[in-house]
Amino acid sequence: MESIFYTLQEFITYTQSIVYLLAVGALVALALFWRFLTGRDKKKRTF
Amino acid sequence: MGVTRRQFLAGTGTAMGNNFLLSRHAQAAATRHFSGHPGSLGVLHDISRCIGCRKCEAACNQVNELPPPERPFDDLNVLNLERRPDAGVYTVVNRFLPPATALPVFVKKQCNHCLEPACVSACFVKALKKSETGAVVYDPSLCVGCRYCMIACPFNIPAYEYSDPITPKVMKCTLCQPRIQKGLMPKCVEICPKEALAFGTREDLIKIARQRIHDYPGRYVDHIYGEHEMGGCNWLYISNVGFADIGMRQDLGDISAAQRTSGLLASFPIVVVTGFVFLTGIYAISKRKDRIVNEETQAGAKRDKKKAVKDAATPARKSSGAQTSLPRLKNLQSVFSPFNLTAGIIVLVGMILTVLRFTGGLGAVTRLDDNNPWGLWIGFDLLCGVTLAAGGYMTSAACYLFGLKRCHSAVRPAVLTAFLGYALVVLALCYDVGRPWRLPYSIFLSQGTSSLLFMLAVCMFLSVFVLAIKCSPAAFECLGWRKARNAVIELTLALTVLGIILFILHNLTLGGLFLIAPFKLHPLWHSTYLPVSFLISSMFAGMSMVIFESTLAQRFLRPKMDPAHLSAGPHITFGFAKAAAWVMAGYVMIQLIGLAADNDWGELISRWGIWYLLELIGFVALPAFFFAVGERERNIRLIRWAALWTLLGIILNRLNICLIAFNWNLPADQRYFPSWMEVVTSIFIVTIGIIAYRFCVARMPILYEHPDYRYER
Ligand code: SF4
Ligand code: SF4
Repeated sequence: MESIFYTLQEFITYTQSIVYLLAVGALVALALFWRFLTGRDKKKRTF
Repeated sequence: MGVTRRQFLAGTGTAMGNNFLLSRHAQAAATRHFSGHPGSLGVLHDISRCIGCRKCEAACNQVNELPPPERPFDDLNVLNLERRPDAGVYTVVNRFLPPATALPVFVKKQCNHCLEPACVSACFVKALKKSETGAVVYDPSLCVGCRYCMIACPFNIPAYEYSDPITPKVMKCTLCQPRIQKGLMPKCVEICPKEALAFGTREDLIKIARQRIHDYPGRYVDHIYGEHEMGGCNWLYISNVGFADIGMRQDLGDISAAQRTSGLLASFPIVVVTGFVFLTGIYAISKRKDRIVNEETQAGAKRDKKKAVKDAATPARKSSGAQTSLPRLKNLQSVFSPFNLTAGIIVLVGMILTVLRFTGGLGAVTRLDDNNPWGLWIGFDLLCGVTLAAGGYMTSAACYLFGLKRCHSAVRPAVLTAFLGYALVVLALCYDVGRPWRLPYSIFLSQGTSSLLFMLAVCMFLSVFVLAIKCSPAAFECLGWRKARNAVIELTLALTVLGIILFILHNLTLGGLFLIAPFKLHPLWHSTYLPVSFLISSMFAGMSMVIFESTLAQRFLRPKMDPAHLSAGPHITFGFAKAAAWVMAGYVMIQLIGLAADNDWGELISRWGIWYLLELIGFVALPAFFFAVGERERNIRLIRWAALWTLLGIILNRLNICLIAFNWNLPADQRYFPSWMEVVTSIFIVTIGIIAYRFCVARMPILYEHPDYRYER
């Protein structure tokens, strides 16, 4: 369903809410993918 | 063709009935061109008809149940003063004597109920809303009292109850929203004896205004004020004299506040995702380099390490965990040391001021007013606090992402400083905002995601959280909680990457806060690059802070430092001096490009220009040069002075943006200057930070390696 926006401010509020949630989701997904990508690397901490 | 008030109101009534007592959603179409709520209502103020009788002021006062005025409404002498709405007055009428006419001109001032209100875009808890009637309405049950809406409003309309300590509210005209919802018109329109105010749909009002201008070309200036200003308003004006002559700004442009900040808001998710990918990529590259070096030196290192662990462990066990083996600070034990006495006096005065602040409201201790809603606590405590806390992120990035292991010993002190810096920023905000207990509303209850302040709140909340976790291993080592400590150490990479993303977002947001108010900040400081300038300047501020802090530690906390930390000091100082000089050179270039991008060169030839150049050359370019000379000549003393100089420059820059060059075009008597109580409260907050820092370094392995973990970090 398409939402109706009369002001740019309403539009920004709506889209930013979704985009922020997606950004958090993207961070989690990337972190998991990073683990998968580097999972076979030699276990050696450099810190 | 003229329209009588009665005819007009008849049409308006029909429009109101059609538009607001029935559902209108069916009429709307989804579109990317935002032209406001269809059929929204407004008022047309025909300035040529106003006689300055103040009846609208009286009606507004009565219908909104505002406090009685200082001088009665029939006293027309107040018209001699140029007034603005305040916490007890939603609308004022001012008298002007423009050169074009021999007669005085009267202008009513109140909220213009913008189509894209800056105040609504600014509010991070959605306490302000643009309603479908056209009114911009305020919900005091959500307001935190941050006063960013006041900063954002280009017309300087919202006012604040500075003297209310517990429930201060933002006060402004509501367009008589409760009356409109009952099918009535705003009281001021109803009462006006000269029909200088007309109420109706915005579309109809624009038509009427055009008609009048067309019918009486000699009488009206050919401009409808509010048709396009700041993206348009629901309150419109036509006038018989130029708007510039009656105190109405001509330089606002057609771009709305929402448009001004939308670009930066849209960049945040990109910063998060690309920042994550980029930073982990850097880590992977530096780790690979590291592994090659490690493999080459592995055999020899293993032998040395085994022997050293054995040597180090023996005396520690002998002392059975007693802290006597750790260095101690002698002067911390002395209760009546000069430091303790000074700090004690400051804390005592600070406590008294705290009581005053929370019993008498902001008005009791600050010189804030409706034109200057932000003062020293935002300019210094918030802006400088966040910037100077950057050292923690800089050292973590250098050590854990770029693989500069020599920075390792600087990480803990820098992260502790950053954590305390952020914690103190939160403390300062508790003093500054009207209802600090509502600060979490923005995250958990009512997210005003169109506001940059929302992102600032998120960054603040997460930064305190991340830095607290990053600081925790030192506490766990003290307590002997090995497992918890190791679990946190495992998170180092994730925390570092997250911390740096937060650092970037935080500084972009801080700079971006002022994008919404381009008419209030002097053009030399207001630039499209302001967020980037904030970010870059906080990088070299962070590096300078690490140098400054290590200088202080070497001087005053030397007994608390182990040889590794003592010997790493100069390496870190030279390394960060070089990096800071380089970043500062980049910053100067960006400032120059910013001047060119906004074509602000002409502004340099003024008093403000000299002040700006003093800041840029005197407090950025010069210390950058001294950093470079100090690094080349291995002159650590010069570098330390340059670091202090840079820090002063950063404080000057933040104060310029938030206070000195802000509201630069207001008359001198309306400018802000902090009260002594604001200054002492800021000193009190910094003192708490210093006490907390000394407390931590005296008890935790911050400036030395805990013997049990010496070879694990
Ligand atoms: S920005 Fe100012 S004038 Fe516009 S709606 Fe908000 S308070 Fe009113
Ligand atoms: S929360 Fe802040 S921006 Fe929102 S209405 Fe209150 S003072 Fe204004």
